[in-house]
Amino acid sequence: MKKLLFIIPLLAVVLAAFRPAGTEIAVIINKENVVDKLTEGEVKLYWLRKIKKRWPDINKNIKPADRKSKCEEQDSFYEKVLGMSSSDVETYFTQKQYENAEKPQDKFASDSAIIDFVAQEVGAIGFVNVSSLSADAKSKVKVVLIVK
Amino acid sequence: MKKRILFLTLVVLVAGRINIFAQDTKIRFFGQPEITNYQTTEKNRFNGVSGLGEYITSDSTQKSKTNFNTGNFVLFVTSQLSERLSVLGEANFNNKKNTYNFEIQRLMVRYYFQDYFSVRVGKMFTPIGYWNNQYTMGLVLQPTIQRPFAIRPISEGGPLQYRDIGVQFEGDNIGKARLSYKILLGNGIGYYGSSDKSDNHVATTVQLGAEPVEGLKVMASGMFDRIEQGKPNPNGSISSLPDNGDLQLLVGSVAYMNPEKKIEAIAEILSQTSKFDNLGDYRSFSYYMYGGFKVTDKLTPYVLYNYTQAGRSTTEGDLYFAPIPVQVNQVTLGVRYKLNSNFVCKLEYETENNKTFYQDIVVPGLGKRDDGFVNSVKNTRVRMQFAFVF
Repeated sequence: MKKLLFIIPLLAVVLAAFRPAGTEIAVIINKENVVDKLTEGEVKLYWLRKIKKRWPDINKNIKPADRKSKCEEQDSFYEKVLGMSSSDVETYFTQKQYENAEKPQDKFASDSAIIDFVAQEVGAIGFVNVSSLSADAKSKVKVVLIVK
Repeated sequence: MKKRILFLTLVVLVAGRINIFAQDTKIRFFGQPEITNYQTTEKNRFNGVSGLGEYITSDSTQKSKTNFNTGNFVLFVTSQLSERLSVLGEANFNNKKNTYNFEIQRLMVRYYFQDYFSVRVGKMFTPIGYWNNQYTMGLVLQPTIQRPFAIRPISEGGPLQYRDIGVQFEGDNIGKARLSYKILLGNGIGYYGSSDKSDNHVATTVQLGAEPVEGLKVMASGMFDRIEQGKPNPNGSISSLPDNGDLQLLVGSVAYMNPEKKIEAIAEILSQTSKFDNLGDYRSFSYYMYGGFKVTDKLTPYVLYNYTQAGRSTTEGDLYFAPIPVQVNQVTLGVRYKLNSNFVCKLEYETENNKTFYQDIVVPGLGKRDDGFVNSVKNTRVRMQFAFVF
């Protein structure tokens, strides 16, 4: 019995240590955007277009890019950066659209589609899995935050 | 006529479909079928002789019914025509009994200059109070099934001109306190772009607000309009108003609706003054308080209390809004289940006490003036709504 009491906590510690790490997210913006770094709080404000609707200096509309369906990257971004559930995020954009005719976030099926969108749209801001940022992708977009 | 409306709708839908790709158009549909079980008890307290010459102290009637309603079906379209220019169209369809109604709720263009300055032109919701701009037809977003009595539109016996046609200047997120403003110059109460206005007055609605803490909004709004002699009053109880005058509706609002927090609350207080040029001033007063608590992400029980006093007291009506004094007390207990962002189910139990104070009744034949007649109607309702957006 004593052995069992010793083994169970030990197993728990070992399992916790070998638990797969959470999805690492990179927040990306267009290369032409003059912003270099953003904090998590700033990303939240920009991505939700909460205070500013346009980027300072480049004077372009902020265009948030999202994933089309539920995935690890989206879960991680919503939880760690926005602190909101997916349902609350959708309701938030619907409310903005309903109240002010504001365009909701653009949605994409994959990380590569988000990278292409951010590379094309000067005002875009999106999130992708760090592992999706190949050398080619890094040449197209600017990483402003890594969320672990 | 029906065919024409159907054809027009199809044209709009097809046109919208074609433009989806060219102009970043988003189309949404809001729907809200509803089931209501309704019971009403009507009591008349009459301390004397009735209009028919009978001596009555009180009488009461009771009735009950269950309804299934389709509610409104709302077509909502927004399009980003350029970096700064967007358009919004909102039309609702509903059917009551055998009639079908179609109405353009909003149709406007918005030009965005800066965060602190943009302009809207067209038909839009009046910037009066918090609730009116936040929810209105999009019931999947609204925390309750119906809006509180105090802020019901004129067409439903309330005080609000909930939308108007005109031009609005607005700005938000100004400074650390996140100040906001909206100024609407519109046609005013009772006019929806018709050409029957007899003068050139413009109704002005002003709203000033601040969001000092995330999700906490504090607002003060005022609507200033002109009352025209000879026109009916808003709810139609007077067919021809006896005098010209000024109308003033003031609203104070506090709302804490932060999706990241468990507690949600809204409170608004309204004061309406009708200042007739020759017949004096009349006042009506209302307030409501809403509170909800998110037990889980999906489940939110809530309570809503509303008080409305049409007329300055139980012996003095409001010549413009309700010539016979009316008091409305409304308590709603409800629970909201948000399956996801597209579907919300709400269940409510509501009691509404509606008292009308008829005073100084002249008894036919006797010439006697009675000192009071109170018509008290108590409504209890159980309602269930399935609100969706797609």
